[in-house]
Amino acid sequence: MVNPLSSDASKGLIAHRISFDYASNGSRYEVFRDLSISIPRGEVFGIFGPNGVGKTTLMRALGGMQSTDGEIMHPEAGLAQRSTIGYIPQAYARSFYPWLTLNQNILLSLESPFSDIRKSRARIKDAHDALGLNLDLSKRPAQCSGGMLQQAAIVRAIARRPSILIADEPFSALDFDVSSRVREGFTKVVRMLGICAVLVLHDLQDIVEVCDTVLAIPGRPYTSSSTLKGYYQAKLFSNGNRVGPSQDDSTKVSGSSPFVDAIQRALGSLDS
Amino acid sequence: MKRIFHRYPLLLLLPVLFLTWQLITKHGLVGKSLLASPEEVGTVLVRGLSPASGGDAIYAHAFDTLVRALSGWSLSMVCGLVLGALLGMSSLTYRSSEPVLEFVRAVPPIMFFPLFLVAFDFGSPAYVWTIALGCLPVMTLSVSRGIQNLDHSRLELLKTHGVSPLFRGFASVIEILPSALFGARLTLSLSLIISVVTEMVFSPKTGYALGALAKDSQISFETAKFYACIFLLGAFGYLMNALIRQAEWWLSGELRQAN
Repeated sequence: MVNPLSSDASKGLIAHRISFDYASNGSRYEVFRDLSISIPRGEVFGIFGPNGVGKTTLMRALGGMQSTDGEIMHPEAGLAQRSTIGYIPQAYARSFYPWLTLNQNILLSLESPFSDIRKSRARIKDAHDALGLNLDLSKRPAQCSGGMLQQAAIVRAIARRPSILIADEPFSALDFDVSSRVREGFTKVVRMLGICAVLVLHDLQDIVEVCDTVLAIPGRPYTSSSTLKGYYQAKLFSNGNRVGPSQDDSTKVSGSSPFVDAIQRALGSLDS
Repeated sequence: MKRIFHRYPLLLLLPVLFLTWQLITKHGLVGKSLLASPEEVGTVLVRGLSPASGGDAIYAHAFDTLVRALSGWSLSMVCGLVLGALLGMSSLTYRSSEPVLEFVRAVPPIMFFPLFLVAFDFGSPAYVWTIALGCLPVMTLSVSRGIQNLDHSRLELLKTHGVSPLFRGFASVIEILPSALFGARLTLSLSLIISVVTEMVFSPKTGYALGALAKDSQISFETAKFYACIFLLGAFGYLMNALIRQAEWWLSGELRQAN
């Protein structure tokens, strides 16, 4: 039998009718059921919603880090195969080994980094420059602020030149200036390398400036019915303002942004 | 000068301690049979450097005691690392074995010394095994706790990024090292204590023993020699402790303020 997804392998990250549930205190909790998502290459998919609705679980499932029912097709890979993944965890600060410098930490995450050390270093520098950063990668994690470590975590994920990038709030610790520069560099790199990016975000400005599509999930956490209800009522929004790697001022968050208004209206109406 | 004192605060305290000690002994505030003066202790330590010219071979005693202590400590390190790794691998084995290890840890190792003396015909292995048994629970608990407290988010990141299992294992070992070194530091002091106490309880058949020398000095009111023994034990314990602590600091990424 020919798999319906196999012909879409080159198109991007495709999840077909995926479901996830877990047992706790004798009850079963369904987090999502029969969810189908398609993320074309070079696009950023955002997951937005209140705490506890399973955003991170969905992100991990799409990245192949969490097993689910259903089928997930990664670009450049067959079913159940893993393609190159870049991961920016929410606990980015803890993800660095304290006895290594930032540069050594990043090197560790590259594929066979020591076979051609010059090439590996060049990769890191390319990722660093493409993001428009000014980081001293020779520092140890203990010498860096939270924002610097988050920037290094983004460099680490991008330097792998992944086909899928999953990130849990990757811009949360960045100050205003750096944040806008990194967001711009980030979307540029995603387009340039044809990465399927899945981002969990809480900041509307991040969503407007970075995401091409957003899954907005309403619902209350910790009760099986409302969590599932949240996913059933989740809506997919397409960011019509985003046309390319660079964007004009009209996409900045403002009270009258139609994209943001639509998400907020939808979340409000579905939640009530 | 202030910077040096800030970095090495002991330099500030040592002269004060010596001065106080000197004043106490000089003015006879404590009897000579209880406390020797710093000069007398220093004389014993200097004379010990040349035992042929009438010294007390105090360094030979110290050396043999240290060999016993380090042998027992090394044995407990090897056994503790293996046992700790096995128990720490799974949450179930860790939780089931922890109460047993805590129980054994609470029993003074000297209680087992008579058994080991009989078992090893009053030979040196009796001392070594008593020390090893005393240190083993502490070392095992330190290693297994280190494994249980491993940061799984780091390992998950490495796995997601396709880093080889071999390197992931190596990174985990490095991450467990601070806990293992902490255990090593605690057990090193413990090994010295057990070594001296066992020597005080029963003098070894062969070789020298600082514990036995300290006990004999006490009985014969050779207070200076007694305090010289204490000084050597303290100095060795401090040096080894400082060495292991440096390794701990380096591994945990703590940079000293001076850098």
